[in-house]
Amino acid sequence: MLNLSIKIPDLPLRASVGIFLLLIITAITSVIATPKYRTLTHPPVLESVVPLQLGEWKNKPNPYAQVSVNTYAQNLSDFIYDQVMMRTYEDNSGNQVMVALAYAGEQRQEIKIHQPEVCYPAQGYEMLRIHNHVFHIPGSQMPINGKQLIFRKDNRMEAVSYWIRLGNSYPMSGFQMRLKILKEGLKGNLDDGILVRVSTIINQESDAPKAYLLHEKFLTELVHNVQLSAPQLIVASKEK
Amino acid sequence: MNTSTSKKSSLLNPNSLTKIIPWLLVVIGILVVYIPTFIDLFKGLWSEDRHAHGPIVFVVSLWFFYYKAKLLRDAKVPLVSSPVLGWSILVLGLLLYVIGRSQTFYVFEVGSLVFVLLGIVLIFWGVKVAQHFWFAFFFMIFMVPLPASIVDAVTQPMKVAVSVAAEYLLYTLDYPVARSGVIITIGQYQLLVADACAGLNSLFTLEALGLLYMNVMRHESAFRNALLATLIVPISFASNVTRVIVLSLITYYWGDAAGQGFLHEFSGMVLFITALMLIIGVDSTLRAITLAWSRRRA
Repeated sequence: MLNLSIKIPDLPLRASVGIFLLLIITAITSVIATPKYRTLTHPPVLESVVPLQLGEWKNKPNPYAQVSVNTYAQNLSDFIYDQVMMRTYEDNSGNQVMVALAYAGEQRQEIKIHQPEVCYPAQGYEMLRIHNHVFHIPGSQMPINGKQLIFRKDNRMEAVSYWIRLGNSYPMSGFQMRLKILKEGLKGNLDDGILVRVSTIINQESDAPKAYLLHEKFLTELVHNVQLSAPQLIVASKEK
Repeated sequence: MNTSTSKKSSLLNPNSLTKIIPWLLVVIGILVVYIPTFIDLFKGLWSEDRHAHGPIVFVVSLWFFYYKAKLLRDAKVPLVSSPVLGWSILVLGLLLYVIGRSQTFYVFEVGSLVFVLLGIVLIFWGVKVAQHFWFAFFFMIFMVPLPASIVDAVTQPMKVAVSVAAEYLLYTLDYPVARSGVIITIGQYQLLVADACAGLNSLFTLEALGLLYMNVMRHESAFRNALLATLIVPISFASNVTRVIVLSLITYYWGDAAGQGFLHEFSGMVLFITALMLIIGVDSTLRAITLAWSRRRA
């Protein structure tokens, strides 16, 4: 017969009370220390603040499915982002760009924006090129640090330009994101974040520079138009 | 510390109240701190495939604490409090918890549980008892959800490697198979090797299983244990390849529905059975080798 009981030893009361108090203090402190101040209390609705026409760029029905903005299953997207907007725009000469905006009101250590260099490969894309790029967008108070990349999957090749705004900064790596979130978090602030990603299907790698120029032209229009209705949404502002 | 004579007293006996109150305080304290954590884990990370090993490891580690506690009486381990070490580790654990919980660092938040429990054990019963439980504490580390960046860094190459190996073997067996990245095409069907099929999650679960096996078998040689623990990595790989091949063949012969339905779950069983058989096989081989070796030296 299996004996399941264990002899339970006595515990000294004083030490137990000490441990109990420490644990209760810990529970209370962790609630108090949890950051709660959001950057934007009423974040704008992407679908409505991004006009269907941006300068000469007009919204077009999307001929291709865009690459998802997160690494895993689609339902995780709801978990990471509050809003995701994916559209295709076309200019007067017939050039098309795909734009993906993904906004999250709260950035936390474990729930933060996914960088395209992570989420494209997770969906089967091979990363051919990656380099840092400073976007000089008129209307932005500071230069925007982002990246330009080329991906390939079977016979689909895509040139991608993106930046991530996290609070009032443009982090360039997951580590920088963590650091910034921690710095703000310890002050009790919650940064918001947005992924601004523009991409084009290209035929060969040598077409990428042309695509990047197009991206920059489009982004200039995008920033210019969205700044009017929703400042601080897609580009950072200096003060704060 | 009054650890010596304790009468067999029932919980209903009012005299036992003084015995129970300290326990209640400690247990309630731990629950107040960690129940929110576990609610978050079950609602969030632990419901994802890639962290699915978490609850398994947690339950097994609880069982293991109980298992070792039962052995404690026979082990004649002296109960001598180590207050300084104990309180320091407890406070360190609680600090980790506050940072982890408030800033959502799961590594700190969940990892702190190991420190908190270790600290409490040290305060009450001392180093020797903590050593008696060492494996249970160590085992709990496996339930700490690692940051996505680390999981991805390990899982992604593993997925590709598993796909490559499965494709190669199927090709050698003359099946019409092709592969692009982690997508295997067999006949008219396409299979995506998902995180769950080949990742840190299955490696961890198997590693945990293997360590548990060794600890329950109570092997004497530390070298053999370490070797076996290392060999679990290739074992996990081989089991994952087997699983992908089994799934591919099920899909090939019985169609997509079979591959995604009941038989998909079944292939998970295949993974664990293969792994367990390999672990036991490797272990027996190692034992035979050590035996033969010591006989030759004698």
